[in-house]
Amino acid sequence: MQSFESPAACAEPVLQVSGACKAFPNGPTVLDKVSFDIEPGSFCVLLGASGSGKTTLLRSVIGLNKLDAGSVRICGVESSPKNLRRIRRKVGMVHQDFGLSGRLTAARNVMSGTAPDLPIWRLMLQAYPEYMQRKACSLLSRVGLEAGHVNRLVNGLSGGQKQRVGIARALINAPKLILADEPVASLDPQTAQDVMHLLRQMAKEQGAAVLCSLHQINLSRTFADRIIGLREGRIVFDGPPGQLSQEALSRIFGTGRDVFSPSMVA
Amino acid sequence: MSDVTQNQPSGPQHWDVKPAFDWKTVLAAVAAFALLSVSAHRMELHRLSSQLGEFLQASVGLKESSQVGRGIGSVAQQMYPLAIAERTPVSLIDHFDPDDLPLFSHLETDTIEESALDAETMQMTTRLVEKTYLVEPVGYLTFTLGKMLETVEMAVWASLFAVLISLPLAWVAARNFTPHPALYGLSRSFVSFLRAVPELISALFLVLAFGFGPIAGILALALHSVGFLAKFFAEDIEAADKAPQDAIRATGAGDLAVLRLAVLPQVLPSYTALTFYILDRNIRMGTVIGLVGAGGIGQELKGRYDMFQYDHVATILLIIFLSVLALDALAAKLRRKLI
Ligand SMILES: Nc1ncnc2c1ncn2[C@@H]1O[C@H](COP(=O)(O)OP(=O)(O)O)[C@@H](O)[C@H]1O
Ligand SMILES: [Mg+2]
Repeated sequence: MQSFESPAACAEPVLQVSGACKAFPNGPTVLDKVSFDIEPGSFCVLLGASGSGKTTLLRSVIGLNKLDAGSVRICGVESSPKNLRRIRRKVGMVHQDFGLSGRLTAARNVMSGTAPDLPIWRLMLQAYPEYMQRKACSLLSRVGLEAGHVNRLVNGLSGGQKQRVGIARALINAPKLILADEPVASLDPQTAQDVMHLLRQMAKEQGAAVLCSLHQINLSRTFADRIIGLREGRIVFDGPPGQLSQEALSRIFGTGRDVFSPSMVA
Repeated sequence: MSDVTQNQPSGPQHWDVKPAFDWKTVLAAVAAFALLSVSAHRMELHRLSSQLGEFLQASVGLKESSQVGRGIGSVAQQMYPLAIAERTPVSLIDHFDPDDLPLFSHLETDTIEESALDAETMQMTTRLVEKTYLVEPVGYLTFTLGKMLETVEMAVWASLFAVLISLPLAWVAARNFTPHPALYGLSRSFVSFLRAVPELISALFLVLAFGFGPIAGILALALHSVGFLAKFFAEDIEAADKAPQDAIRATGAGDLAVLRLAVLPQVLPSYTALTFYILDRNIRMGTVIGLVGAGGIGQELKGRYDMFQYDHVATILLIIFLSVLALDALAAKLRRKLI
């Protein structure tokens, strides 16, 4: 399961979350003492219903949310306001709503992932060095886009193409850890399969570990090495897909699995 | 069973749909009407209605004449024909050379009566004198067009300065990007202050400081434009979609990178539209602030108006009108290309 080919893999867990707690102002508790480690090169799915706290957890890992309590370590380095930007460079994130700039081209969106490593004048003039342009193009081709897409505005791409651009952006800085927040939520089933497959394959190639949130049980079973079940901000399951029994599912999703059943609406 | 139905929310036949307006709306309307009535009295609007009535009656022949009609009529008569040519007494031209006339121009000689005091007899005598004029057939038209161009140039410079100052100012004045909350408050008040001072007022003072001419005009227009642009630039930054900003921030990049990569692409169409609006506004306001001596066509207009040369005034007004029309069409074309 671990990818030993990658020279960049660190010995310790790439991600250690311990005792993470979070409540939004005058809201209920969203994360309740969440603790887990992610080993290098593993593909871990965070499975949970809508509102179970998946997005909040992933955003807390990368410091877009501030935790009320608990700590996050990435490659052994504890996340603090002082070294937040350094830690973020080790992580690539694929966002649920893509998080792309619609009025920039696909290539520019991919290259924007390297922003922290560029001198400011290059950023302002959008003058990326040649080797970075080569890298962006090869990544775009690896995620399945064609030459005609490179200079197309992201607004003009389909949902699946946008998500592929998002994945390429997350990969351009050779991250040790990829956070993917429901990367296939807005895609049709076939495209969802393709994108999940791509995500897994690209991570394996680069030796990056993946923490991917999903609400689809089948996709989780197919692609995960390990599944962490989240319900109302608490970890209620942690194990390989083989152990994801009917009983475990009801712990994650409640008894009525069908969200349209009256018990879920009431 | 009946207990259960009482505790449950009642059925759709009992749901309320909020009416479009209630007694509060009616009360507000009555209060507004009362306020307007008081204000109408202060503005002497009753005089407006009687004068307009008189004017309408006179124009359909029910009445001999009206004050408004006489006012408009006398000015309109003096406006026609428009002043197109320039007629300058040769005696007023320095170093006049009759063998080297400007293009398309010719000389005219008039004989006019001139009265003078005879020093010996201490009596007024009248004699005939010949006076030569240099006549340029479209001289005044081209002169006025030049003045209009000056106003347009003033507006372009003012808008350019305003955009260059507003961009960094908007960064400081955007709540989510300001380097310090105190700077935010300070810049917002500064911008509001600039917006609160009308161009005509600041031009009055700037003319005192920088003298007559375009510099005062450019500064007056630019200051007010910054007050407008910086506010709306900043508000566009605040309202921009957060998702792309979070994505750039999550790479470990700083505020400047987020602004360039995630905010600027979003706000650029709006910034372009605002800049075009301010350019259009500066051209129109540029004609007005000329009235206090801040350069451009307004300065010429004021001079001719004060000398009761309404034929020249008419030419100026026509050129302003046509230029604004033409620039409007040009701006619309550019906007379609850029946005
Ligand atoms: N910015 C916020 N302010 C207040 N409540 C929030 C905010 N973001 C998320 N929540 C709440 O936190 C809970 C978990 O949300 P989220 O992490 O988005 O769940 P998921 O991604 O699993 O659907 C939800 O009940 C949501 O209403
Ligand atoms: Mg979510």
